[in-house]
Amino acid sequence: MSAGPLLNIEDLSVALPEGADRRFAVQGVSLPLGRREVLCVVGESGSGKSVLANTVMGLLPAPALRVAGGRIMFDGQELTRLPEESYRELRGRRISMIFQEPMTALNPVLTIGEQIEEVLAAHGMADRRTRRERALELLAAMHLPDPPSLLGAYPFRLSGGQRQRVMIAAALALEPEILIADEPTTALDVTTQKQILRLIREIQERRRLSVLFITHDFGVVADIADKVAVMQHGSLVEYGVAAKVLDAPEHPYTQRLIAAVRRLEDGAEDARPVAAAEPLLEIKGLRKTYRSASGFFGLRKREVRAVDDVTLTIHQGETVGLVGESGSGKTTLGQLVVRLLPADGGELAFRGQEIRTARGARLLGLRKSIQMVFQDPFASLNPRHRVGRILTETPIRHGVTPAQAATRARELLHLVGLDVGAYDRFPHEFSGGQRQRIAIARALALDPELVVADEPVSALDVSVQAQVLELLADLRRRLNLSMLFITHDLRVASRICDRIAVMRGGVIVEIGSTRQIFGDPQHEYTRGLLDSIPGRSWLGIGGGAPVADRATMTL
Amino acid sequence: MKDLLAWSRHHWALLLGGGMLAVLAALTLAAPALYPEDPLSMVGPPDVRPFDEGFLFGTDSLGRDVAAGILHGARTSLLLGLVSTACSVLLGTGVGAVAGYFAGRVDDVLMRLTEFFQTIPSFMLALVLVAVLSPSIWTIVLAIAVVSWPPVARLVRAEFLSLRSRDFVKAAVVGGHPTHVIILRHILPNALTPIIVTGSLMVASAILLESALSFLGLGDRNNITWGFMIGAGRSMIRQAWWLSAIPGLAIFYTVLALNLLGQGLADLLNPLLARTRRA
Repeated sequence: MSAGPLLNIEDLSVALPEGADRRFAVQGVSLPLGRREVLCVVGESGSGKSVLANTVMGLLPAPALRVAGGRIMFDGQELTRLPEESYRELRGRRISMIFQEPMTALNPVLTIGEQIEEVLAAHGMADRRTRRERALELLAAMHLPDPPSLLGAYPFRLSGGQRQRVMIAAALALEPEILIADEPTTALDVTTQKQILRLIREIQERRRLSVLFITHDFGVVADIADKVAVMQHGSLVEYGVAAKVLDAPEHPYTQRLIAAVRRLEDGAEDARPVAAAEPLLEIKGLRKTYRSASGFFGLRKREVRAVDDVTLTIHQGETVGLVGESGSGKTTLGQLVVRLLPADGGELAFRGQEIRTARGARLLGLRKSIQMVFQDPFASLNPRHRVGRILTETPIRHGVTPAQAATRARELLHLVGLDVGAYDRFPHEFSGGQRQRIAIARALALDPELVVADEPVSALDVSVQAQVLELLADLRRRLNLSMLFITHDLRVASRICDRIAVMRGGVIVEIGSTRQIFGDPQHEYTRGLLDSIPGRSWLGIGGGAPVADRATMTL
Repeated sequence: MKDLLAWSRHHWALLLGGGMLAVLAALTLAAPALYPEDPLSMVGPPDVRPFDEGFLFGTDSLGRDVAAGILHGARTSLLLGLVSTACSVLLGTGVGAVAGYFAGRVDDVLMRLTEFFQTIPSFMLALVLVAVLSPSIWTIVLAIAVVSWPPVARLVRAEFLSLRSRDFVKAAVVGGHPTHVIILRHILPNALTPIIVTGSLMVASAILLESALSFLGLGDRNNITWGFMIGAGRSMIRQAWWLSAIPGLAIFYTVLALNLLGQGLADLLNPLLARTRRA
């Protein structure tokens, strides 16, 4: 083995098509990836980190993106000028890749076995029996349950985490030297994320792999990286050993990003005791079951208890976090509160008024008092309406005169930190964070008392997340808002919530003040969630033993 | 100026299609002035070849002026195409929007109805309708509308099904807007692009359908149409092929123009393209 790096990116530039917002997706990046090393490339959306990964893999979407300069040296070969045929030999056999979305990365009409064996067959493993044995071996190595029956299973039967394991198995089928992982855990729940990270680390050590790991999450970096490269607007701004970059970042951008992550952990320092305040929203024994018919003539009925006997009270001026993984029923509960869905049973009262049965004028009155902020600011604003219309339409519906609504809309824009010029523009002219500010302004346009915020920062970059959370915290103080804050991310919840309710399988398993939940979690599931927060020991969250893997990681 | 050039290079299909249609419309409007005689009356000797004896496209076996027929026929064909398409788009959008927005039972009932129409061969149905109702320009419009709304309904339903679960629609519900406002002002504008594009292509197929009906002798006898001219020229195809070919070319020209316009509109209305242009 030679001493130099296995993969060396030298002064690489990738040009964007004309008319894009900048000339290069990746500009002058030099980055070595050593043998048996995990290199994390961190950056926010648009930083060029995924383009970098795709360039190494020779997967740039030509002719839109092309290499404009520099070299990628891999084991004496120059990759950027490699003909497609030689690249095909390289891919899978020596460099492999896994992707963000395990739900779409597997072909739904092929069995798991066929998809893994396909990789082997494509690279010349002709014998069927050897292929099958190898596939079984791989699945077993991924700690997947019952590999023999899994070989004949179709992807829809597997969970997201299991699919990602299958993807990793397929990527490792030919024992590559480099694994490129493009946000492989971003689409997964935290507990699953933790398992996948552990698995990647394990196989990396066992198979002496080099891993190029693309992520936006410094928590994940802390858990897995040996070296860290930070990218901003296509340029490399910082590169170094993980511990050094994480604990003593040099570049101001890195410092800002890390500060944004760390700040999330401070906990709601201004958490107020609110027991004395009167209850605003009272949920008692609320139930919602989804029924779907399947099979011939819908004879087989399936039932999912999305919300199962949930009891929760939100007091005046209080922010309650609703934390859970996907499928826990947290979004359903939020939609029941704003009456986007009808409940099946239980009580749901706002200031003593039953929400479930409200109709006509009474429902309109409730709608005025309870508003919602949605997760994806790209989907929650009508792309065909100007911001002014988005902000005034609903107040006008509730009887405000157009002139008053327009004045109020301009005030709201100012309140959420946007320029008044935004009034006449379309949503697509704004960034994600700005759009979420518009969505928040829309929710506030009716002066509601309760805002249901469904993952309001999950679609945003970390630094923007911090800004929007600050805005929400500031608004709720100034306007004495109450909030039901739905999130999958305990770190985010800790930043803004007075109390946190942990939800799982439609049931609230634990509820307590933010400090209690973080400091002294009672339920086993809550402890598991806390334990799965990426970079937990680096961030120094919560009690209990630090993550054990940390010691082996810095070896 | 430079922007305009770039814009027209990008939207050449729209400009070309629109331009071709504008020429056609101008000629159609000018028809009564250019050829004041009834295009169905005999104005010259029979079987004059094109460019002979002052007849641009010659005359047919009864001595009718082919050029006059083409221009006067354009009015009927275009009118038929536009009116029947407008009717079927309105009907299809209404059915599709209601089915897609309310989903569930309503959707089931409306979609079975749509499928009922789709499973009957559309040309046969149009033929029967026109034959039963006696051929006139309005029964032909009706027949074409009745057979061509189901695809629109399915398209609009699919758009509505995906749009109704978008967060901006939920935001409108939470804002307390009534259902018809949500359907008409929030969802419909977002579904308009494919509707307009399909509509422009449907005008073309309506003209073709009318031609086919006229060819079989089920056209409106009082109004000359291109299909009728092709049908009338059929018996002479060996001696005078141009009698069928010239109206055929007119149909080809119109359908091509409409297709170009449809494609151009699709590009123009696509907000994604608009965004990249702006960036």
